[in-house]
Amino acid sequence: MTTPHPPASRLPGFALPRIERLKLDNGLRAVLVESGSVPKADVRLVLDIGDAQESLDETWLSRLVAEYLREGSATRDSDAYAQAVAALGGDLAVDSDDDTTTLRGRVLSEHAPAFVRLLAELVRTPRFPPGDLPRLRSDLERRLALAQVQPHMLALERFRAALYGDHPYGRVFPRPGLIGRFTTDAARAFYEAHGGAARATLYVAGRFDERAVGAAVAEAFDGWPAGADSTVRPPQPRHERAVHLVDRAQSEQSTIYMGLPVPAAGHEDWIPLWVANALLGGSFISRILLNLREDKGYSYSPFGFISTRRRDANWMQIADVTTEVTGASLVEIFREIDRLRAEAPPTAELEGIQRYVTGTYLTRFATPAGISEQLASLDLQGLDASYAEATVERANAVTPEEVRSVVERCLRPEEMAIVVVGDASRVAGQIEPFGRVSA
Amino acid sequence: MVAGAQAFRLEIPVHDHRLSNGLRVIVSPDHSAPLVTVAVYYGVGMRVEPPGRTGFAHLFEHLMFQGSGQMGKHEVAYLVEQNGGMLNGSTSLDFTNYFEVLPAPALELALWIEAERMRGPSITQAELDNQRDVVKSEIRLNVLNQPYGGFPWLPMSERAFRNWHNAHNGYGDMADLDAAALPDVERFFVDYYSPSNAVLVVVGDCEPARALELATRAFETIPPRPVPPPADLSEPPREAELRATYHDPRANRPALAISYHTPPRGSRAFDGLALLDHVLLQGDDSRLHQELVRRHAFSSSVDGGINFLGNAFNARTPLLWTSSLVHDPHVAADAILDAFDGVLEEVRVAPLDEATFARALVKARSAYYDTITGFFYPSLGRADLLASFALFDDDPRLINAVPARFDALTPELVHETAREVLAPRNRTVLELEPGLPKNGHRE
Repeated sequence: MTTPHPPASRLPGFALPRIERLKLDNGLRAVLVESGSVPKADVRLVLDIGDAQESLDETWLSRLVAEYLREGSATRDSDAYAQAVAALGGDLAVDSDDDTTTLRGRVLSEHAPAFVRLLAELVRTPRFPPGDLPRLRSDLERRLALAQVQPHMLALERFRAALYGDHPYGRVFPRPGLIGRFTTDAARAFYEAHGGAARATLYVAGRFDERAVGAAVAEAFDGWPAGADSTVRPPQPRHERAVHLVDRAQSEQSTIYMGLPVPAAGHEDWIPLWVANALLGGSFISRILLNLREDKGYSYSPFGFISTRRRDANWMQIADVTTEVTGASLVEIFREIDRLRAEAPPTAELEGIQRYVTGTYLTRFATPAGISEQLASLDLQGLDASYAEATVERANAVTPEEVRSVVERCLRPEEMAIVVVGDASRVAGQIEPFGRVSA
Repeated sequence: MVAGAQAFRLEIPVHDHRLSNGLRVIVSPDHSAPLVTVAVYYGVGMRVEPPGRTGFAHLFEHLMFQGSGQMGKHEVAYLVEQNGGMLNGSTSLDFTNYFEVLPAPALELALWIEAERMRGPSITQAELDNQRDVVKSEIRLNVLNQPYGGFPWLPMSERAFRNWHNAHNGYGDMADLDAAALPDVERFFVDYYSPSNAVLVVVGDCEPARALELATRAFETIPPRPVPPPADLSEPPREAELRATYHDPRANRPALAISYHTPPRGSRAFDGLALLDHVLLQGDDSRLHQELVRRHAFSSSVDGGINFLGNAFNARTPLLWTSSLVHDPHVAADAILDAFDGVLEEVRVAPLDEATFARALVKARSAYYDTITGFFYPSLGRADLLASFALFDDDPRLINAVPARFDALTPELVHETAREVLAPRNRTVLELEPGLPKNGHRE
């Protein structure tokens, strides 16, 4: 880089926004952050209800619960509830994932307190109308059918199963016929077993009247029972080389998911590994992207990242590659991993990546939605918000040798699972060199 | 005491200038985060492509990361990311944009980068070939290898429009991409990437006078060139409903999409349709959701809106207002269409009741604020609207006029729009059938 561009400037320091925290007697927590310039408030209630609490026979039951949470409260049916939310400028979204169920709406600023009350009404007295069960079950069946033809979902299913086995994190799809056996009573019982104030956190970010929202929280959630203690089983992910080929006849390209379990956020390796991933495959100037995309033209969007759940993480590299170069792409990915395991990166390359990860970390806290996501993510990991500041400091202090050694320690090729979704007749021979292939 | 709506008004600052080479420079300060977003919008998109050149505007966008001005291949990515920023570009119907979000002190650098890009591509045959492969991989990922890939955008546009510019596949046919050559790249740049055909937007933590000074220094030496007249996007009058079927070999459930041609941008009827979108289609309280999802259980959602590639504000017209859903095989498309028609008939027969109308105004205002906020990239939503109102209406200040435009509507005006726009002759109904057609050929 020799062109006469303006000099690199000092990055502004990272500072957390001002965070107001409330905790009610029943254990409900609220996190309020005034931010942004647009007169809206991002309001989300995160419940401790997710795949992690499901038994094998309950796979996707938390999704049925999430669907049921859009069906109104004891005093308002689904139409009346939807209209009440819409009149505040909002639209309720309910999503469940590995660990949590999030109810979210973005309302006009002046209506933030009213929306807090509506959310409280919903989670304290959800309606669970039995008459809607057939429709909600057929919606889930359709979602399942649609997911099962998407190459990325097929890859994720096999990848998760390879790492987590019979732990809930290892089950992406319910087995055939299971959804049809779900009942309203089962959904309600699941909600009641895992819901409750002590396992709920409300995040409000954006522009709003902090005092009025605080008062609405205290009033509307007061008296909601705390609920039972959480009893999730921690995963024991596998560290072993496995090669899986999911046959998808006449695929136009091959979808690669590969990776392995790594230490979770809070571990001493976490931040060095985060920096190392950005250098290896997790940025637009990363080695794997430059190799696969800018040099070879094998793939549009190869991407490396660390996928997280509650105190659990795995490193992943994903790429959709031209069928003919499926094996060649894997060779190049391993070449880059091996190179970083063997040689500390040049200082200049690492410094650029450090500026990338710390500079873009600012943008994560630049919008109301971003702030709530980041704070919720730290809460899920049981980390204090000050960890965000420590993250930036530690990332800036990582040395080239630390990057090499963390990659050597954490990204061991012999412990990686490799999943390829593609046309088996054209791909099988290409991936045999990487291990015994399971179909 | 709860703060009322008056405490939360939004007035976006707009500093609008034109440099001597015709480049429009819009600065909108926002000190809520220590970041700055720099975006250049060129008034050229997929719709200008002539036959034989489908996908070229998008391929060209990729090439603008390969080297331009004094920057080498991919250097733009190094300059932005190594200075703590993120970057991207996109190709839409009527614009192509390039943008970066950086810590505020990097403003001068970001302007330098975009000025170098505006000086023109300097790429080799190898770089063209490389990005041709990358673009093909992108099309495989998002369209060819993906169930429902490109649906309803690509098949609906091809059928609903008669005018090539509106109808053709903007992602590109592989054969057309193969035919793209270096002289085409140079020609396209000369024709469409003149500073006089571009808008530079700076949003974020900056002082307007300083930002303008830096922008002037970086860009004013770039010479302007004549720009070809805009493509004629006009459509012939529509006389009857059109129905079509499309086969998707990777899909496993049928789908249905219904598109209506929009009125002209900026018209009262266009605003009326944008409001009807909130009554009929957006949100769980919308009438199509209530009828098709909750009452008939055809699907878990009905999706859609105005403009497949953006929103009601960031493209010229004609556009389509589309509703689509995936349904189960035992449900006939006609049954869904009957229920759909029942809902639309209500708003065509009589004006909206006051409660529904008032709620739609709140939803429209709130959704517009979300458009301003944008999604992934901080401040890009605001930059996008400022550039769009500059490119398509010659007035970026219109960004502040949208809520008042909605408020100026009445149930009667909206009723008139419903009768005119939501007429069956104005629509195209497209059924997606999973699998190959009976004759076995892929479409």
